[in-house]
Parts: sequence; C-alpha cells; structure tokens
Amino acid sequence: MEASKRERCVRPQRAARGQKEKRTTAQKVVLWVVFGIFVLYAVSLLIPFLWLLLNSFKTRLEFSAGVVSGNGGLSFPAEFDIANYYEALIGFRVRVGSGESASDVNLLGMFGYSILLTATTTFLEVFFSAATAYVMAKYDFPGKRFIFAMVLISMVVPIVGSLPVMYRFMGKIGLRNTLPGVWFVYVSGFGFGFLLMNAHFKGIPWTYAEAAQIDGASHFGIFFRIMLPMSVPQLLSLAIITAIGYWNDYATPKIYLPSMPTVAVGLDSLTKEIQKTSDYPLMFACMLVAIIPILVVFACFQKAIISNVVAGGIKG
Amino acid sequence: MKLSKLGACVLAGAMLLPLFAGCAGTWTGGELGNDVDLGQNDTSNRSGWVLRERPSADAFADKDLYITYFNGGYGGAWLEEMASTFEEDYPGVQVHLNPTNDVNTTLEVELEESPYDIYISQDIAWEYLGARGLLADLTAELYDSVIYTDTENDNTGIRFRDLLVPASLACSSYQGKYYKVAQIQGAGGIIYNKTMFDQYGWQIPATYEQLQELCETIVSAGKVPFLVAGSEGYLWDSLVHDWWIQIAGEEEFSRLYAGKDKDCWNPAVYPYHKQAYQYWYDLFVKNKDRYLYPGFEGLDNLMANSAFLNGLAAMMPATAWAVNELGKDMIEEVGIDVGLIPTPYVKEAKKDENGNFIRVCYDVAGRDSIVVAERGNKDLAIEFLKWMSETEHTLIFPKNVSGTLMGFKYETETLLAENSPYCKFTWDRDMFKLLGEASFRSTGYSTSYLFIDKKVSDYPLGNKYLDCFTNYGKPSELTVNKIFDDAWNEVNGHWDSWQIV
Amino acid sequence: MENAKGKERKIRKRKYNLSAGAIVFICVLLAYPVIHFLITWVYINSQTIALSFTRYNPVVNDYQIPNDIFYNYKMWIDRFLHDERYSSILWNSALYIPVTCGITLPLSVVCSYFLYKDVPGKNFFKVIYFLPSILPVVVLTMAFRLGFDTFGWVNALLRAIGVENPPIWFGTKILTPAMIFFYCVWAGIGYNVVLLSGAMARIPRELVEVGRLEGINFTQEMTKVVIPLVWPTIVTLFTVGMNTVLTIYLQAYFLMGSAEGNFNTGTIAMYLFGNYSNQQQVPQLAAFGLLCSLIFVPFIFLGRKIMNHFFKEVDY
Repeated sequence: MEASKRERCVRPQRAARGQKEKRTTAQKVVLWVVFGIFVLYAVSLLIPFLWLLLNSFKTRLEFSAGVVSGNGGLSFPAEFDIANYYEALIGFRVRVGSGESASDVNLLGMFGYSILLTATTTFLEVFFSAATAYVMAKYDFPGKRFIFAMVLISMVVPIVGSLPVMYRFMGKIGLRNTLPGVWFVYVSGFGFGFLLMNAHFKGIPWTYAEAAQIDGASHFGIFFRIMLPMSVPQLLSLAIITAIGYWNDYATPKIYLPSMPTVAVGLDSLTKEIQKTSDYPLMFACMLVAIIPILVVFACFQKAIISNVVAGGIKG
Repeated sequence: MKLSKLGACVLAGAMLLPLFAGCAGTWTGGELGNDVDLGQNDTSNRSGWVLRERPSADAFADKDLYITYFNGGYGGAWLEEMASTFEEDYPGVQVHLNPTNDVNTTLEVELEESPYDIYISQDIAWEYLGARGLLADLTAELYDSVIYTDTENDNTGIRFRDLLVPASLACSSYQGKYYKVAQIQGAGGIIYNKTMFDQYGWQIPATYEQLQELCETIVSAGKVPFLVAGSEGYLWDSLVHDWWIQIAGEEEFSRLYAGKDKDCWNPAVYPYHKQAYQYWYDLFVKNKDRYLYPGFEGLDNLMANSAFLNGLAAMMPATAWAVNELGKDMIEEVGIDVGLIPTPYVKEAKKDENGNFIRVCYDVAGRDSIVVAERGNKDLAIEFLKWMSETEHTLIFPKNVSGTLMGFKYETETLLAENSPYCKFTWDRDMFKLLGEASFRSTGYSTSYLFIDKKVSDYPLGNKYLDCFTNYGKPSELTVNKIFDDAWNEVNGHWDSWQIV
Repeated sequence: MENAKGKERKIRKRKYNLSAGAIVFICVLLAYPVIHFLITWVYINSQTIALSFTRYNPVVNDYQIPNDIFYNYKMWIDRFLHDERYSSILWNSALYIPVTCGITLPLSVVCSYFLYKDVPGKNFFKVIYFLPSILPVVVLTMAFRLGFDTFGWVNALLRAIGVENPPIWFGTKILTPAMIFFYCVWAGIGYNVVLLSGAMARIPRELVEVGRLEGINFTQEMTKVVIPLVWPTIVTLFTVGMNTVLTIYLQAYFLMGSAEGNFNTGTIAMYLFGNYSNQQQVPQLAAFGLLCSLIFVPFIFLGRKIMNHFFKEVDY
C-alpha cells in the first residue's frame, strides 16, 4: 500500500528528470567552465595523496636530500621498495597502557580498536536515539514536554569549559580509560539522532501499534517487533552518519581511552614517533596504510554511504 | 516557548545549586615553605671513596621495576643499557621499559590508579603532583642517603645530594621536599657544521663581534650562516639567556627566578635581559635576509634539521639535545661532523679577577625530570636511582647520548680522555669542555608559585622571537623596547592580584 | 490531515491514562538518556560553574573560593581585552564564523547547484569531494602542510614556473591563519555539498520548470528558486557553521601545533583541549569556557534568527 503510493509520487519526477534540459550556448559554456573548476578542485584533493604515495617508497636520506635540493619531493624513487609498507603495517608499534597491562599496538591493532569502538558506539547511539525518540513521539506522560524543552535547550546552547570537570568525574567513577566510559561519553540518546528519529516516528501511524495490541503484543513487543523493523532505512542512515563521526573522532578516544588507540588517535602517535627518526617516507607509508581500508570500504559502498548521509542529513 | 523558558530557569537553578551548597571551602592562607637544604659536602677528590654496601634483590618484596620514559630527545639506548646492567647487579630483579612520546597526558590518572614506578620526561608537573602526594618524597630516602664514604676525609658520608651539580639540586624541590631528580645537565649554544667550517677555513668565534664577522665571512663565501625552524623559536633562548647571564651575573640572574621582586621585569631597573635581547635582535633580526636561510619561518623542526644536515646553512642555535634530534645515525649517513660553539661573549660579560670572561650557561634541558610514583614499587625505584648515581653508572648516559650528561657531577678528564667512548662527534668534546668550564649553570627553574602557576616567566608576554622576524621592516614592527615595556606593564599591573599565598 | 492527528491523539489516552506496562516501558527506555542528561549536562555543567568561582590553593592543594569570587572571570576579561595571546584566541575562533558561513557554505551551495545541473561527471565529483569527510584529519592536514612547507611541492612547482621568492605559507602572521582557513574551506566543502545535493535532488522538477519556461538564467534560478527551496538545509549548515566558533580546533592543532604555538593560531576549543589534564588550571579553564560561551552563544542565536527570517520554510 505504502510502496505503491510512493511509486506514484516518484514516477512523474523521474519522468521529468528523464527529459534533457535544453540549454543555451552561454549556459553550456558556463557548465564546461564549472566542469574545469571542479576537475581542478578534485585534482587538488587527490594530489597530496599521490605525493605521499610517491615518497613512501623512498629512503629517508633520498627524501630529505631531494626536498632540500628544491625538488619538493616530486621525483620518482630510485627504487620502489615496499619495506616501508611492511614496517608500517606490522613492524611499527606504539606502546599503550601502563605497568603490567602495557602492550604494543600496530596499525592493524588500531584498526581493530576503531572497528570495535565505532561498531559498539554506533549501535548504542542508534538504539538509544530510537528508543528515546519513540517514547517521546508516541507516548504522553507527565514531564514529557519539560524533558523535550530541556533537551532542545541543551542542544542549542553549546557550553564549553566542562571538559576538565568531565575528565575528573570520569576518573572518580572509575570509567576513565575504559570502553564503557567512552560509551557513556558518546551515547546520550538525546542528540541529533533523537531529532531525526523523533520526526520519523511521529510520521508512523499509531494504527500499526493498535493492530499489534489487539494481537496481544506488549509495549516492548510493539517497539522491537514492529516499530524498529519499520524504521530500518532511517536507522541505517543514522548509523552511517554517526559511524563516520565516531571513526574520525580524535579528541574523545584520545582523552578517555588512551590505552585503546583508534586509527585517528594512533596515527598521530605513530607520526610523532617516526618524526624522531626523521623517517618521513615511513610516516607516509603509515598514513597510506591507514587510509586504504577506509577508501576500499568507501569505494564499495559509496552510493549507499552518500545517499544515507543525504537522507539522514536532510532535516539536520 | 513558555516551557522552554521554564526549562531554562529550572536548569539554571539546578546548575547554580552547588554554589550555595558550598562545594569548595573558603580560602586558607599560609606559607608554602619553599626553603630546602641545598648544602653539599666536598666531592672534589674521589680517590678515597668507598661505595656503600648495596642491598641484594631479596631485600625487595617486589622485584619488578617498571619505567616509562619520553623517548624524544635522548632516545632509549642509555636506559636499556642501565636496565640490563642493573639486572646483572641485582640478580632476580627485572626492569621493564616503556618508551613513549606522551608521558604527561595520562600521568595524573596513572599515578592515581596503576602507575609505573619511575617516570622520566620533560614538562612533568612534579610540584603539583608531589604536593598532591602522588610522587614519592625523595628527601630522606634518596637525597640524604649515603652512597659513598670518603675515607680520606674523616669518613664523611657522600650523600646522593652531594653527587648532583648545584643547578640540578636547586631545581628539584618544592615546598621543602625533593620530589624529582634532574635527568640531565647540558648547555645551549650554536651547533655548527664542522666539515663545512674546515672546508672553508672558518674560525670558531669567541666574542659577539667575532660571530658577526664570521657571519659576514660566510655570506661572502656564498653560504648561509644560520638556519632555524620557524616553529622552534625557543632555541634562541640558548643564546639570549646566555648573554643575559653573562651580563647580569649569577646573583642578579637568579633574583628574577626568586619571583619576589617585580622590578626584575622593569627594564629601567633590571636591564640585563633587555640588553641580551637587543644583541640578538641586532645580529639576527636586522640581518635576517643575509644571515638566515630564506623561508626558515615556514620550516618545521624536521625539515630544518634535514636542511642543516644537507649543508644548506653553517650553524643553528642549539640546545643540549641538538645532536640527538638530528640523529646520530643520520649525521653519519650524511657523512659530516658537527661541533658546538659556546655562546660568544658580549662586551659587558662579567670577568674574573684575572680579567677573563666568566663562562656561564643556560640549560633548558636541565628541567627534565625523573620522578618516583608514591603508589609504585617505591623501594626498588629509589634503589635504582641510588645505583644510577654511582660514578661508573652515570657514565652510561654520555656513552649513549651525544654530548649530554646526567644531573650528576662528572670528572671532565674521564670524559675528554683520548679515545674516549663518550666523544663521537666534535660536538661531544665541545660540550663536555663547556660544562667543565662553566662556573655557573642555570636551568631557569623557579620554586616560586608565580612561575609554577605560569603567571610570570622569564618572558612574561611569551616568546616573541618569531614575531620579531616576521614583522621586521613592517609598520607593525616589534621592537625590543616595545616587548620589554609591554612585559613590564603586564607584570606591574597584575603583580598584586597574582599573589596567591 | 489535522483531523487525523487529532484522532490519533485521542486514541493515545490524552490524560496520561497510562497502563502499568506503559509506565514500565517509558521508564525503562528513558532511564539511561535522562540519567545521562542529568549527569553530563546538569551535574557536569553545574560543577563547571561552581569551580569557575574557585582557585587552586597550593597551601591546601585543593580548590577554594578566593576573596574575590569573580577572580577568574575578571582575569579572563582582562586578558581578552589587554593580552594579545588570549584575545587572539577569541578572534581566531570568531573568524571561523565568516570562513565557515561566509565562504565554505556559499561555495558549497554553488558547487551543489552545478552538480544539480548535471555537470559532466557529477557522481565522480561527489565521491571525491566527500573523501575529506571520511579520512583522518591527521593524514589530511599532514599531506596539506608538507605540500606548503618551505621545501614543499607547491613551492617547488612555483619555482619551476619562474616564481623566484615563493610565499612562506606557514611562516608569517597573516598567511599562516589564512592557510588554516584555506584548509578548512578546501577540506570542508565536500560534506556540505553532499547534504545540499540531497536536498536539491528532492526539489520537484515542476517548480524549476516554471522558471525555465520564463527564461531565467543560472544565477536567477539558483538564487530565486533553488536556494529558497533548500533553505532549511542551508540554515542547518549555517548553524553548525556558527557553532564551530566554540568547537573547532583539530585543523589548526594538526597544522600548527598547540594553542601556545607560533602565530597565535589557537582557538577556544584548542585551549581547552591543550590544558584539560592540568588540574591546577581547572577553575580558570571552566571560567574561560563559560565566558566564551556567554560571548558567542548570543551571536549564534542571532545568526540563526536572521537566517530564518530570509525565507519562510517551504513544504513541497
């Protein structure tokens, strides 16, 4: 029923899009000029990585002699040696933790931490956002409007300066440097996801719930068996947007989880470590190794990622 | 909207509650008690010294010693050698080393929860951590403990404190207690490309004027005299602070660090720092285009080091860790030798009774700390530090780290002996000679809370070196007069409100 | 429509006539978010406010209320007014507003518009432009910074084409912050473009067709048709952009080092991030953060209010 309605709405638009827009010569020229600018911008985004790639095969002496001689690192390496890549992926490690619990982590380990942290935190954030949004959208209870007002105020009034106090507090309750601690810092259930899901749940008719109630479903049953499955696309959008944020976040894991360096945090430590030996090429290899998996995932799922960011971000 | 306002009021009310609940007490006055015994027994003649009887490993319930250290600057080879030698000397003990590039971020948490036993790093807030009871008070158990007995001098006990150079002793106590051991002693100056100097026949300058002449000579040879990373402005302290001490003398220089007299920031009353700064300004800022590598402002430290190694400039201002930062293996790979030029004397420099200039040095590296965690394996950690202070073990450091010594007293003859294992580059020999000659060395450390709380520093308005370069010749030009007048206005205007005890 | 909503409300037992099951359900699902809100917003912020009136007393090694309870606030106001080291933090942060809202956002709108107008290769461009949003900042900043180093490839190219004295990109008081802003624009357009493109794709073609029949050009179509129709997304991005004044720091941190670094490129968030673990500084950091919030939050509200007045939200 729903699907067919949507079909009907979409079809005329698609048909309209199918028609080629007639353009004047001036407009065509403008579009090609813009195309040129777009190409330049795209190239500017790619060149730094090609430069890193080119120089990651050099020895440190070859690189430093080259740049100070004025070639800007734009020469080909004398030999394409993959030693830096082996070292970057496996060999180079940073020490984390203290006392008897200290351990070495290489880039592979950092990927593990990033995946663990991103996956668990995204799951929790999406779940709590959905739960909070659902309750606030579908139930009336004392204090509801008050909670809503408070949440809105807390979202639109950014207060900075509480970081040192939060840091002390997390230490006092024993959650600093623990995975649950980071979950606690990240997951609120009242953030951007709440607004997104709230709007979504408001749009779902209550009749579905009534039908289920007649079949004897509990409130939990309705939420888990009916409402959540109906919201998978929205949940997926939210998950992708939040996951990108968590994957790239630097400050929170750096402050609250130093013993489990994610790629974003560990890469910074690795580069600082390597800088002491002036081994720029090794540092470049580390950086490229760190971004390749992200690029592969992105290349495979770029359509899904971009369209979900769009869908999720639209109401922002 | 009404509800939003109500919500805001309730929230504001809830948030202000703690204010009225008295979450913090009212102000308690009192003294900080900074005074500490800096007295030392005579250590000039070691011939009759007999080493203490060391305890065996069985004396320690916990035989594992965990040490974390900042591995920038001096690397880790010295500590690895110390650890293995310590294990040999104390069979049954195991030393675990943890190199890291960031000791301080998690330090307080670690000290509270599961600390390493010893921390070695720069910038440790040891005064605060010590006062909080997180660092071991080393006064009785380490500083007053006897390491040697001088059998030729009435069996006088040579205590740990006697083995340290005065500057290292002076920068290790807070509120009457010793909390740290100064990791190293070093000196600043100018690092030079000796291979290049030899090739062109350039002479080492002893005075400011000679340095100026040298720069001209280098320029006329088509080379660039100096290079420095724009981002590392503090390196100029090596020269400016040295000139300041040369002009002010030990007593006047130290007066500022006592933090008791605001006039020390008043250039009309205390002109020494300003004079030194002016010397630097006249030589380097005014001749920036000729004496400094073009574009040095946009270089980071690594690129600057690469450029120096590749012969793009003849000299760099340097601290004690310069050679280690350049990389011993890199210097060898490139195939050059480097040396140290002690900061040349300015004409107002103090002279001794024979009319010779008095050699002094400023050493920012001397502030690096070794501290012991109160909740760690304190006994074994302190034993390790005692063992470290024994003459033969103090030499492990310069064997591994070019031209740098620990905070202990060394015999210069040993270091400079022929085929000395401590002198790899000319730099090492130059540095040891300089440290041996210096009659006064200061780390610029102050036990005054005004300094610890960062209300004042030896340049109250921040390091302005780079600004001087980038604004020179422009309408916004920063003059020495302006820098010091502004600094004095800042100190004079706030002095009373800064007083906390 | 209104009628349906009214009915739905009635069905949902208007007068809080909640069953025991519903009460349990609401409590269980809201427990975590509400507790989290009370702790991280109410408690932490109230502690921050309280601590901002104290000073660390070295005599007792604890925070105490000084004789002048407003000591920290007076100190910061004095510093902001008279000390360039601190006033520059405010100015730097404030400048991110025009950069983000006045440069990045308009450029993103223009970019998105031409992607919407089917510039050749638009899907490829979208993917490339989105890359900076998914890569670790440390990699992107390092690649960017090395390119513009005195010995970097940009200057090498400039010298190759005959520029004798290429600029010192990261070495002067004016150019250094400009380069940081340039980086923010360069790397920041992509995310906005993806969101705006999504919003534009939802515009019904009929609305655009009308204008086209009237013979309007690109500029008119963009400013009179497209922008008003995606205005809510623009306002959202504008608000997010305004908030950067209090939150941005990673870019400058990775490009130029800590807040006390050279050229005073520090920002509010960077100052907090750089000092949070120094417990002696907690009271003055708390006052610093609160004062900055007090200074900038009114501007953020004002900005949003003005933006909302431009066009009325359009439903389509």
